[in-house]
Amino acid sequence: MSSPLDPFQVNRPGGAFVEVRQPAIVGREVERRRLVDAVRRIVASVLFLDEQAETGILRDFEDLLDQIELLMPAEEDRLSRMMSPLSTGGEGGDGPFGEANVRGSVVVGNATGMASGMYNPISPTILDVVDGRIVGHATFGDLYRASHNGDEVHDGVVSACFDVVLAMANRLHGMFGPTMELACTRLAPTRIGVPCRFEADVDWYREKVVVASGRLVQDGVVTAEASGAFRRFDQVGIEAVGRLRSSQGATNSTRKNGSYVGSDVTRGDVP
Amino acid sequence: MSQEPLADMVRALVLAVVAHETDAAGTDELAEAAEALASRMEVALLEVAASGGDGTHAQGPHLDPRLHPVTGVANAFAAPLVDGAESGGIVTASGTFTVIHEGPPGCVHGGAIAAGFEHIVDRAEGRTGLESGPRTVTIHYRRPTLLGVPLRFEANLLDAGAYAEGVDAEGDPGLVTVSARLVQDGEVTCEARAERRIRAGATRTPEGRGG
Repeated sequence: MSSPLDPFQVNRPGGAFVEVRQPAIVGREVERRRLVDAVRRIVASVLFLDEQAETGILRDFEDLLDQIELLMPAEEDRLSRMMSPLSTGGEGGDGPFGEANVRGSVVVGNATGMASGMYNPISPTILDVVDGRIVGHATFGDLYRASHNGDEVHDGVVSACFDVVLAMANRLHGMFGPTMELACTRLAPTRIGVPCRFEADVDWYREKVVVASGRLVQDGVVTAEASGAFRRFDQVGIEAVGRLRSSQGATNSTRKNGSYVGSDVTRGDVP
Repeated sequence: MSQEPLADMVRALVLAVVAHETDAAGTDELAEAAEALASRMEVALLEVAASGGDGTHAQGPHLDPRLHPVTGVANAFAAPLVDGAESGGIVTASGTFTVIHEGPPGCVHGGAIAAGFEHIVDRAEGRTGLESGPRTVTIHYRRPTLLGVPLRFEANLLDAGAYAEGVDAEGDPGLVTVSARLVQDGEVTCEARAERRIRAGATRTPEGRGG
């Protein structure tokens, strides 16, 4: 792709802007990125500071926490306002889900996801589209270190990244849905502090399932491979998963702000 | 305040950062406070280093269980899961995931589940002395796994005799397998199988490697 978009700088000062239509983020994409970047530094520092923390640091931490916890919505309200993660990168374009900015929508992806969400302070991966295929960039730090070998990334972290990289390969081709099966093969250690590149493509698909596969390359060595089968959801399936969660806390089935809140779905009902 | 004051607070902070709702001006105020706190913590880290210490990790960070990415209480990437004692040939790890690890709305991210399985398989293999090495873990996601509801990963320990012979339960030479499952509210929501090819007799003293 010839776009000047730098995936690492999206929604940072001086970087490309990509609209994120999630209600909690839209209109404050840049400010929220700034907040998350700062919290990433805090998360990294806590690894090495816990027992040495001065009283002053603890007090400032509590103040910040008090401020932000006041802004937490009730869980039912949060879920009722959630939109499909497809809803990013603008509208009215010719992307597989009508995105105006396909590459931007991939970089933002599931904006608060644990593996690639730029708005989640624990996520290690940045996704991008390179030559028409999904690529994930990561340089794993201390947060992702396996304990049995000081230099290695934990296999579970690698698997978590593959889950989203494969899912995003599907999405690039207009298919979206939860994981049905994920197989990750560790071939060699993935090292801490060395840039990695995940690559993934769709292998085949049918009406309700799509299969993708990928690999992780570090220093020219393939350290892991993965293959995943994913459900192809339609809008009914997406709404069913949302209603499933709402049923945990709500006693009445009502429709609120365009989304269902209520107890009318059980686990087995999710298509 | 608990024994892990900063660890508890950082997990709460990450959760709040992911889930909170405020306008641009409010977000900017929070960002400013977070940047100031981050800078202060980084200075404190430099002071620890300058005093000749290496933080809390006298034996190196990789040996501190508090930092483990699946079970470490001081690692915000972790739920954290809590390892259970081995019982009846099964090892377990339990926990409750929050919005930090959300995949489909209200459900645990498939990647978080994958990380949990890699950990429990690691424990099962390690208890029988199998060295870390190439392996495939295949996970079948049967039902949605919900946020906010306690769950438990379980894995069957390898049969030591079969392992020594390099065969699995079906007698396939050179193939060693571990089966595992994820249980929530009495239901199995996911199952997993780990497979490795090993040389017969390639054992070492069982001690657990802890992932």
